[in-house]
Amino acid sequence: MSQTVSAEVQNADTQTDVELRQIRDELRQLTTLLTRASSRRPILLYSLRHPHLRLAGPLSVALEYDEEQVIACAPDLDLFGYGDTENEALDDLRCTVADLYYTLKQERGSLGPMSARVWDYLDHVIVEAES
Amino acid sequence: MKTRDILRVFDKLEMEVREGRDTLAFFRWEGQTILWTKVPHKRGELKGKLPHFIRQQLRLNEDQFRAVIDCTIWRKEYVEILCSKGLLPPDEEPD
Repeated sequence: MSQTVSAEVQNADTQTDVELRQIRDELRQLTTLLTRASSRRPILLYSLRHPHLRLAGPLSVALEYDEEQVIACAPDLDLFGYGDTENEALDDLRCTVADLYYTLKQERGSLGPMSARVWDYLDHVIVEAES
Repeated sequence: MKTRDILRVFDKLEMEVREGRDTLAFFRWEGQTILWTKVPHKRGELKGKLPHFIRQQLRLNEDQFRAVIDCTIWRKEYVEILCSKGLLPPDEEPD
């Protein structure tokens, strides 16, 4: 009788250990997800601050932070900018967007599948100022 | 990862390089612009997540990116990777 009780207690202990390990693993995964989420901030960009180009609509941008810099990423355009501060990263991204706009405009007759899609979007969202 | 490692990647993949605020690199295939990326002019170690973003723009997973740096993937293999992802024009796919 006492042997049976002892075996049951041992089984319960083992079960508790397994469950505790699972909880610990889940907490670790949650911590990783929370860390990732807190290092990424979505914003909308309303201007390219360019003398000849303006945005017809806002660009979706994600600001990502690491220990050393800020990266501004525009997933719809497959572009990023970087800098020591948010403003520097956004300014770098603005310049990169303008640069890509002129590059793809010049090459619009010879674009691959992905670059053609990006050009379609750029052409839709960027308006050239009349000189 | 250092800036020069990325510049070598551009070289191995025979990307067209243009200097601007950063070093811009365009991958062209059969006269078509397929994709692009950039690397800072600043020499030395690339900071933080920059290598990750460059790898993403090149459409490579970590193993493939490492293989390009280690010289086991060159332009020919890279074209096959892009082709398998439907990133090359259908008429120009290699046999």
